[in-house]
Amino acid sequence: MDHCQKLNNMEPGGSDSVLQHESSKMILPGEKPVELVDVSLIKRTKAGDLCAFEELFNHFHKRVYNIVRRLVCNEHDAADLTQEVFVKVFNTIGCLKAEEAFFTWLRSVAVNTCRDYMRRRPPRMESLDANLQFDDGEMAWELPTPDAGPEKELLDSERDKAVRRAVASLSDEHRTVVVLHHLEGMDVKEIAKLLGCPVGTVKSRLARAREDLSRKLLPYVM
Amino acid sequence: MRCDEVKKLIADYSVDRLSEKVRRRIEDHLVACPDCAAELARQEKAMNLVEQMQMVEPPAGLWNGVYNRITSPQRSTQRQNWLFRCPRWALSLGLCMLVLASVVFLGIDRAGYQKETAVPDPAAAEYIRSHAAASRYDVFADHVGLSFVAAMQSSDEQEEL
Repeated sequence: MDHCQKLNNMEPGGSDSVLQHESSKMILPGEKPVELVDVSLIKRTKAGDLCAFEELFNHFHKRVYNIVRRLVCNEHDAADLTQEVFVKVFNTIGCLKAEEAFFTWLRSVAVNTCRDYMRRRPPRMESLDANLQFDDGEMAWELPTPDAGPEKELLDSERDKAVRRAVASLSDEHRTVVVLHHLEGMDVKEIAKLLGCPVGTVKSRLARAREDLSRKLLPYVM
Repeated sequence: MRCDEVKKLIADYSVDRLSEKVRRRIEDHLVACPDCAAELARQEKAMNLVEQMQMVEPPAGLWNGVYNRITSPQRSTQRQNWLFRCPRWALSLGLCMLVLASVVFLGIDRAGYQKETAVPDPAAAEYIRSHAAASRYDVFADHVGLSFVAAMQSSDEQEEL
């Protein structure tokens, strides 16, 4: 926060009390980070205020990181891409006219950055029988067994890993629509607009992904 | 509808991708067939599991990376971006001026080249040749220059032949 304090000292209108007041208005309770944000933070970021941008970053970076990580399925690339998203946002926030739609815009920047990345990276050659490399190491498809442990947390954790692996094994196109629809709560029209494809294509990808996921998660849904 | 037909269409049914007629037939079948209804329930449960995926904590130090990338290359970024901040009409005008200047410059250069490579006057050629011969033993004569002129002259004559 040193650089933040320096900037506040440099700017006549900046003070810590103002920042605390605005951040207290901005952050709301809830399981997921809220999409509402104080518009004044965006206006100050447009004016080049790095403290305001840091507030925006603190509010949204976990959400953005999770979107990116779910799309690219790689921890290290997700961290780099998240930083790239926020650098892009800072450099182009002057173009944002509807400030109340900041999160929608931020999410579209994140998705497009990930899509560019996925287009650049070499295609994965994987089969259901092959062991898959994920963030938590090389793991084969695992079925829940009674030996998995009596603890519910452990079972939940195993199930969560299995779900992550199943989502990661989808093709880039299918995974993108699944993440946006089922995890980000976007409707198919919004997704079609964001991806620049017809609504029917989005529905088709969702349907194929559902079939694929239900097959891969069969031991957990019986 | 048969069960295998319904099971193929269940995913499309659940994302509302079917016509009204097919959708009603599937709904009628699902009411009567517990096996197909269970298949639909399995798909719904699988998607519920996906929706329950926990968010993970991002690694520490992300902001520092963003801050460094925003502040350190700021000057170079600004220098790169000035072109994009120019109005389009100014860029178009500049491009037109550049093309026009190139055309004019190439036209002048081509005209000068044609003038230089024009067939020389035979009297002038004879004068140069004789002058070169006369100045062979003159220590103050520009032998290099004269040899160059004479060589040019002889190559022109060979081309004419």
